[in-house]
Amino acid sequence: MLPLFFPIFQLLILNMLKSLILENNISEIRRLHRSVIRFAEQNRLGKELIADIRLVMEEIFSNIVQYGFEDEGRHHIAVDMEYRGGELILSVVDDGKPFNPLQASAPELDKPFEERCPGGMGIFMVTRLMDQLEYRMEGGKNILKMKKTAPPGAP
Amino acid sequence: MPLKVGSREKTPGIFVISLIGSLDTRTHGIFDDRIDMVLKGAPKLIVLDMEHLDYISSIGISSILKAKKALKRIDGKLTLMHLQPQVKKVFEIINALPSQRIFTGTRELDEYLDRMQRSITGEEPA
Repeated sequence: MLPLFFPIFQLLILNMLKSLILENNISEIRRLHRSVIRFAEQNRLGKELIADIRLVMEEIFSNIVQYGFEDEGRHHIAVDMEYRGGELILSVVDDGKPFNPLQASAPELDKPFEERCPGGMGIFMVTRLMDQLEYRMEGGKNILKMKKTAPPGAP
Repeated sequence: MPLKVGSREKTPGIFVISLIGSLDTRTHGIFDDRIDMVLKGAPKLIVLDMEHLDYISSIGISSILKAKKALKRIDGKLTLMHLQPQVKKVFEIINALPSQRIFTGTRELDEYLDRMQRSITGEEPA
């Protein structure tokens, strides 16, 4: 019996996980968005949650691409998306300049919108959309892990 | 999803720009270009109709902010209309809504424009 069910079991595990390697090029956002949609559909995530994941991943990825590297070289950004036990876990690893999003300045929320400077909104949105962020620098790499409680059936 | 942008002059100096799709890192340039084009007509008011805009990221918000500031320099205004829940949520996260006039629909916009017109001509309301 076990050999018959084993491939199905493996498929179930793979559906919960999505990993991809992106290059430090803004055009890769398209591939990232497609992967988010595929991952979300495979895990039957709600529409609102899909939009949140898409936004979080776009903000983190574009921040890395725009500000993470001083050379013109090709770099890889590893993205993992996992949904397990009603918890969403997103990980992003890059070898860019050290950057801890938890220490990023917040936008000027108390100023009227039209009087603000445009920066800082993306990372701030990530901190508001995810329940937990963990950052560490290891082996010359920025490692960011983001978690969000998302019970099955959440919108 | 890509971005489609339409624009029309509703009344002299009042432009409605319709956004369809996503305003994000890949598409904000399309929006920026349309705003630049409309700005050449020295508009008094630009209304962004976001009924069919289903996604916005921070760079999209920055583009809208940039447009607002550009209009302010020529004594114009920019308002939003028909915010969809996900887009509204993003604006709420960055506390950008309290200082904004948001039209829920075309009828509200038309009523506002009527009041604007009457305040200019000095007409009594009907």
